[in-house]
Amino acid sequence: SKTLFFISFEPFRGGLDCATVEPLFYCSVSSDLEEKRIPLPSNSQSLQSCTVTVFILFLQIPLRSDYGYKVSLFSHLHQYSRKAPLTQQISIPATVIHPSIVRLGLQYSQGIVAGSNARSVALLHAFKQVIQDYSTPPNEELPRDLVNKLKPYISFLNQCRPLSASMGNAIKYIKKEISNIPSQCKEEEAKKKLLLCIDNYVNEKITLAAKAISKCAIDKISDGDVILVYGCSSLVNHILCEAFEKQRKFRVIVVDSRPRLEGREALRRLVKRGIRCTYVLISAVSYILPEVSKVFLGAHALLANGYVMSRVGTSQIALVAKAYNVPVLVCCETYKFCERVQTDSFVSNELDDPDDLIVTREGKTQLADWQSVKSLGLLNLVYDVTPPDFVDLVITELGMIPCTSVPVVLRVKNVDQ
Amino acid sequence: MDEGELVEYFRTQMSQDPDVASAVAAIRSLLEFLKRDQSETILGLRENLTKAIGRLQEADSSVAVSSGGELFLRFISLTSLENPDLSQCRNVMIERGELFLKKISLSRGKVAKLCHTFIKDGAKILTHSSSRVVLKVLESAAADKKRFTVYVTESQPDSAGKLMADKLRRLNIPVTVVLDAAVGYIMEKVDLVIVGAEGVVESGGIINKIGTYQMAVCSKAHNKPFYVVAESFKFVRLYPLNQQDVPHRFKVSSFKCASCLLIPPPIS
Repeated sequence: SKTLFFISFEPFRGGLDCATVEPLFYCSVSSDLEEKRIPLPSNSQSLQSCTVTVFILFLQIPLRSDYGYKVSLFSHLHQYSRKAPLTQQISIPATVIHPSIVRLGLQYSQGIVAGSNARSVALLHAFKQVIQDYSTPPNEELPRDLVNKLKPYISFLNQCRPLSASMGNAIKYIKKEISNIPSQCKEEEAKKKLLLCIDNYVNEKITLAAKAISKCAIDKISDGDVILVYGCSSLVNHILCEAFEKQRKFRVIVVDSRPRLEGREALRRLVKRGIRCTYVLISAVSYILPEVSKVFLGAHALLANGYVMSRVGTSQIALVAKAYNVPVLVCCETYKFCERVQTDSFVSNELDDPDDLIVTREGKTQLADWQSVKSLGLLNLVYDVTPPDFVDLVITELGMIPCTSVPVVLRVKNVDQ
Repeated sequence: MDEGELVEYFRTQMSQDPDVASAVAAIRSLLEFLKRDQSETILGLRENLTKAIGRLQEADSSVAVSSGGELFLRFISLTSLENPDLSQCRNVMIERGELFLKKISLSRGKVAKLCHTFIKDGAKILTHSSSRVVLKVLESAAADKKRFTVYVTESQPDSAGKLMADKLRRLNIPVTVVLDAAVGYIMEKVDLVIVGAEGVVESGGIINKIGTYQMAVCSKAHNKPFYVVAESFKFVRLYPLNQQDVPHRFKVSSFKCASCLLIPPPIS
């Protein structure tokens, strides 16, 4: 059970004049609650100073409230509604959060920027903008101050939509680069260096990696193949388009699922190139699998125990493909490898807006008032986890590795850094 | 040394010593090629070596020659970073090459020493076709005064299993030749299965004589341990997803079996 606390800052003696500040701190509430006003003791000097720091931290980011009834297995996760974006609750001037970050947050929460690679690239571009507009305040050092400046942005973006593993790795990289800037470096030089670092990261880890992966993967596509893909993975689409350019004769089966229906985007891209495609929903996958010779899947992240975290439905397809002895290939860049270990999809996942599951057919909307039914919960999961026994091969820019070699790659990367 | 001479050298190596592994013979020939090579730059040397390896692979298309050649090339690229002077570099390469060759010639003995402890007294062993490494393993187990019986599959179309049985009889090991089709029948009687390998692939699997996969599936079904003995130079940079994914040239017989009928490729 959660308790609510409003921190209302009465102007206290000797401290800052905060009469102009509005209470901005709220979290999810239980309905039966009483308000308690606790006067801040203003005689202790240390208490004043620590309340000042607390005040600064809490000023930054409003917390988004959960929406609707959460299924008990997933009650530790957040469930937000798309109709209540975090940006509406920001009443503070945008000097605290950079406008490009606000825009990015909105794009994430509304699903305008979606997909692991797209989100990371958008994040890095927004950070480039932040760095360009940044100026070191007096008596502060750029490395420490810039990293502190980024913290509220990151928590804001996390509130808009939980960070993906690729975004987490990108942020770790940027923070490391910023803290590695020597303190005697001039601001202009430092900023130029950081922008160059970010450009290199995007180029190496995403663009060039995609090229290297397609080169490897094209060897695995032979003439007459029937390839099954699920949802819309930018990397898998890239590979298939490249293979088609290299005159490989194959056809593609695109499997799609509600409520996102991302497969339609993949279908559109492939058909535009002229590749022969078939489109089915995930319920038909066991019907279509006897025709399939290979399954190509994208990944959101590869965990340290060899499990593949990807769009919900991926593990189902891998399971059925295994039952039909169809090889499953996962294509993933190494910047998506993360140190986390997970064996099930409950412990850490993302819950999307439950209202997305409501569908109107022939003028009738069945679940329109689902909130009024106390025993009904709508669950819109985003990710699931596939065990390594169902995956035959992982194609990365370092080459083709079995799923169990992921910790080796992580170890090698750590040694490099 | 031109490419014709290289292939001749390779063939003589193979015929002089029937017991030598084809990868070892390939590396020996490549070392000889390196000694006689006249190129002026390291890049030229590499190019010549790559062409030579290609020519050897045409002569003998087995997996072992391919893996041996690649190993040699990789080993050359590592040495070339140290010395700027070409003749010094070449001498270092040749010295290291000889050392490398000596080490891998001993590898079969090392495998036999490690493996014979898996064979307990009174064991019944099943093996497939004729493998010199398996023969060495069984030889060292017999020398260790262990009592065991061996079942060998006949392994058509070249009946190599019968050759294996002859060799084992000469070592006074009780051996029975079974039909390829009788693997499922005999599996309940045996305690363990030991086979050799032509090549070990990146996914951990092996490429071997036709009929090995059936034996492996059968032994899994009966929960019998299935051991593979292979030297380290047989590790090849391939990742096949299924039977079809193995390159075709590795599936047809190498020139060693020129005397027997040329095996037509399996229906794809």
